[in-house]
Amino acid sequence: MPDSQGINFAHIEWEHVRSRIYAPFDWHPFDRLSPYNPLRVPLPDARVAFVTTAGAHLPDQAPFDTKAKAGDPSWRSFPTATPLADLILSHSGYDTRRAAADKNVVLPLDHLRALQAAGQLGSLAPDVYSFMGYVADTDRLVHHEAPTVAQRLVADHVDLVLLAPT
Amino acid sequence: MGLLQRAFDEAGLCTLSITQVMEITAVIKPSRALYVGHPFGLTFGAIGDGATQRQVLGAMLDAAATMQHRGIRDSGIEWERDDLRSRQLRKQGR
Repeated sequence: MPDSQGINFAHIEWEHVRSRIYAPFDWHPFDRLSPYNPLRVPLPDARVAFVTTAGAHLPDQAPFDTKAKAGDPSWRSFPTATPLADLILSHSGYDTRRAAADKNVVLPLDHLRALQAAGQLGSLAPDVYSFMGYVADTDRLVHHEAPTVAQRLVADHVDLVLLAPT
Repeated sequence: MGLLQRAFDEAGLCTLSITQVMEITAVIKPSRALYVGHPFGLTFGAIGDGATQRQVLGAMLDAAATMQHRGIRDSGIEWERDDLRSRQLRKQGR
């Protein structure tokens, strides 16, 4: 399936990562779509969580490992109320200088908080969960980190999880 | 992103993601995704363009509330400011 510009970026990325960064890299296709769990409450009553792969973290948290050829599957969490100015972006896969000038371009917390304040969202989950989007060896991500964050989101009693890549 | 979403879906959570590359999402097959044709690192729009950032976030929330089936919805939102996305897709720019 080419994207809207007729470019098969999946193949371009596959070649790029294998030839220049991490030779064992491969896509691991799934046969079936994962389960769809409907939104059970209207948005004005919903508790909404945000998960980002922008590599955002607090200054006192360890930065993501931007040098690891296999990527960094670890995650950070920080309060959803954190001012964007207090966050740092560590990511090997995109130019963080642009996003550092206006973090809403990857992590629109100002807009989410405004929607909640206006009553268009019921509440926001206590924490944002943040990953770095480059993970070429996905074993630890799939088998440990992602299920761990999933259980934390369940424990946060969220109704909806929004996920945004970079 | 799709692998995370799959884990959350398997845990019973209601999820909605943005995809900037449909063909990768078609490989990983998370439950529901919204396609936005923005450059990497500018997922919600340009620096200082609060209107577009809010438009993308609003499209996410609308999809979360109204998509009653699995798959990818095309938001129709595309990057028209410059050729950054085209260059990124060819690995000619970050």
